[in-house]
Amino acid sequence: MRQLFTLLTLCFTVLILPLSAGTKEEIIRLQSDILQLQDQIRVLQKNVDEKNGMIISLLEQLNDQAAEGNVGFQELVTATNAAKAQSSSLDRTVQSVQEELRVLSAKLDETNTRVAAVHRKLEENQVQIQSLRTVEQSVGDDIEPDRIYSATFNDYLMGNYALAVNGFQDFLANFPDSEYGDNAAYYLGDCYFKQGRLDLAIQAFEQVINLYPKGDKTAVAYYKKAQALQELQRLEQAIETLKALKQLFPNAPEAQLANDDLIKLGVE
Amino acid sequence: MKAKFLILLILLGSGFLQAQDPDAVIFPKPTPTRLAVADFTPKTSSTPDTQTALNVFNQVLLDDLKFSAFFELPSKSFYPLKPLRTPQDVIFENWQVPTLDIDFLAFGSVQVDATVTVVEAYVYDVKTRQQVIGKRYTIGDTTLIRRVAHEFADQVVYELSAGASQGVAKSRIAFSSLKGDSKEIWVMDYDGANGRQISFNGGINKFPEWSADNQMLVYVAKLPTVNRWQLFLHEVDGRPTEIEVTSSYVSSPAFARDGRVAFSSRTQSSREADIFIRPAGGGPARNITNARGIDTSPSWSPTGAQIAFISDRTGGPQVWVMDADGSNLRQLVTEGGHCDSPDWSPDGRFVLYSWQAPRQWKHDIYLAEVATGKLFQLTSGFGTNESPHWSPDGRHIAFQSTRTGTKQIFIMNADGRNLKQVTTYGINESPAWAPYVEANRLGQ
Repeated sequence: MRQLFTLLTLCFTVLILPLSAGTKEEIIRLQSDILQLQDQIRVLQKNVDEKNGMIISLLEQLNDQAAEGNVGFQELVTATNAAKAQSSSLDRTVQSVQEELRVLSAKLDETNTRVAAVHRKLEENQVQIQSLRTVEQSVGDDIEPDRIYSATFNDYLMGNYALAVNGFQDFLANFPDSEYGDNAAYYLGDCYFKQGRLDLAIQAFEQVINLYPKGDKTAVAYYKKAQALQELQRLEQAIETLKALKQLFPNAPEAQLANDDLIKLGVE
Repeated sequence: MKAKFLILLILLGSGFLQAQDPDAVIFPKPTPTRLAVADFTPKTSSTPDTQTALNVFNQVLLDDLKFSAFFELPSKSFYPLKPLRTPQDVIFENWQVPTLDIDFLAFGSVQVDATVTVVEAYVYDVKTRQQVIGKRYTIGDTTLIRRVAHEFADQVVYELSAGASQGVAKSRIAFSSLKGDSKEIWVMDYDGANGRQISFNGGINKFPEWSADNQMLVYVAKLPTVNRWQLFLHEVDGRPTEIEVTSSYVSSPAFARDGRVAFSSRTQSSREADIFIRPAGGGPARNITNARGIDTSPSWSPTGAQIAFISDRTGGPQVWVMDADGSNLRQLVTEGGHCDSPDWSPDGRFVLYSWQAPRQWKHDIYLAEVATGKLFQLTSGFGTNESPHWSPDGRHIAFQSTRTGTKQIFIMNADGRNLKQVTTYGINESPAWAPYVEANRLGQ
């Protein structure tokens, strides 16, 4: 077995040795190429490493820049949103202003119309006043007292007491003998009473009592005078007035009211 | 000679009440405003829904403006044929021809879509070519189209009357109605539309009157299970509350603007009715006409300082007036016969009432001027006319009449013209026109 192994080794050596001697230069050349390649690979590796470093550095720079950019972007988004909000608010303000303008314009139109209508009415009234003047000139001072009384009484009915005071005073001054004289005198007193001008009211009611002792406003003038006196805490005079009312006008509705007041005052 | 004298007397007598011209007193006759109301048209497309809404809107608007008594409305047959949708469509020259010669022109459009109905309404002064009114109404329910027409009509009246009237188109009337077995309180629009039953007690409910804020009605009722008349306060959108009275008789209540309620009733010791006043915040009512005779039908003056009422203390039932404390009593109507249902005008100047003249079989409607007692007749002819009630602007009157057979509610101008029947079904009486609510005045 050992012999066989030795023989095979010898054969291999005889066959291979010449071949090996022929390729030695090539091997050396190959080795040289390999070395060159290895150098080139190292250079390349070095370049790659450098490039990697540069890339990493760039990436870091990019990351930094991205981070900065993100903040900037967020700021930009915020700024954009704020701008949008301002824009929306501005839109609303513009709309609101437009709406106000529209309303103002409508109101202006309405006012213009009313002014025009009032102007028309004024013209009509002027025509009527002119015609009234014509009538007045033709009849002189013969104005219907009942129309004046009616207009003044309507002021009284509607609670326009200041106007009614003037009206009744004028009426009494101009038409002292009118059938409405006692009414005007009484309602003048009642206007004062309702205005809280109690002393004037008492004077006016006394005038009704003195000037028209048999008039249909005399009983109520007594009663209202007593009420004014009660308001002023002049109770003795009030009681006197109520008793006089009961005695003079026992069947008037005011007599029953006088009775109620006297009971309240502890007299009856 | 004697015969001639008698004829003269009869003529003078028959003309006594008609001698005064109410027209001259109530309407001083300024130059009438001529208004044309062009049919409103579809805004974009004429769908069936739009056309239905248009028909209602055009009719209601025209009726409202005609009844307002402020305008002369020329016949539509004279109108130019071109439909008006927007202000750009108006050719003013066409509306100034002698056959029309109008002062103002109303027009606009209606469009019904799936979810909303839009009405655009305009009024132009034809002489100056200026817009007077430009309104856009948006509603979600086409059943409200009548309401929009009423709203616009009142706006037109308010603007073109220079604020003299707020119009009555949006106003309501309460009344007593017998439909079936019971006579209940109902409320309707002034023109008879949108009738709504308020009381449901199955009894006899009568004499409704409105509170100043239009939220409450006061009326009397005789319930089937209760052997007396009762006085009720009833929130229009709520339930009734009984006001206690000391007697089994109570009638004709009336609200003052401050909430006091006047009514006719009896004290336990008396068989004759008197006028009582319940304080605004409640509490015991006070008898203010504690006197001989029957006193009924109180009606407050606008300020609540005075009361008009019916009293027979001097014979037949006549109209009397007194201060709200019972003093200053005086007889306003002294013509004899039978007076009923006084109602004080919103401007304070007149008391409206019905009067059955001596030896006559029927009532008619009259006005009495409070200051002077002068009388004016407003109705005549067939049927009996009773229970008159002022409109809130004092330019119209509602009343009940049998002129068409059964008792129905009619409305008319305060001069007796422009008569219009507003109920037809059942027996309807005691109309009460709701007053203006101060806070809701237009232009405020």
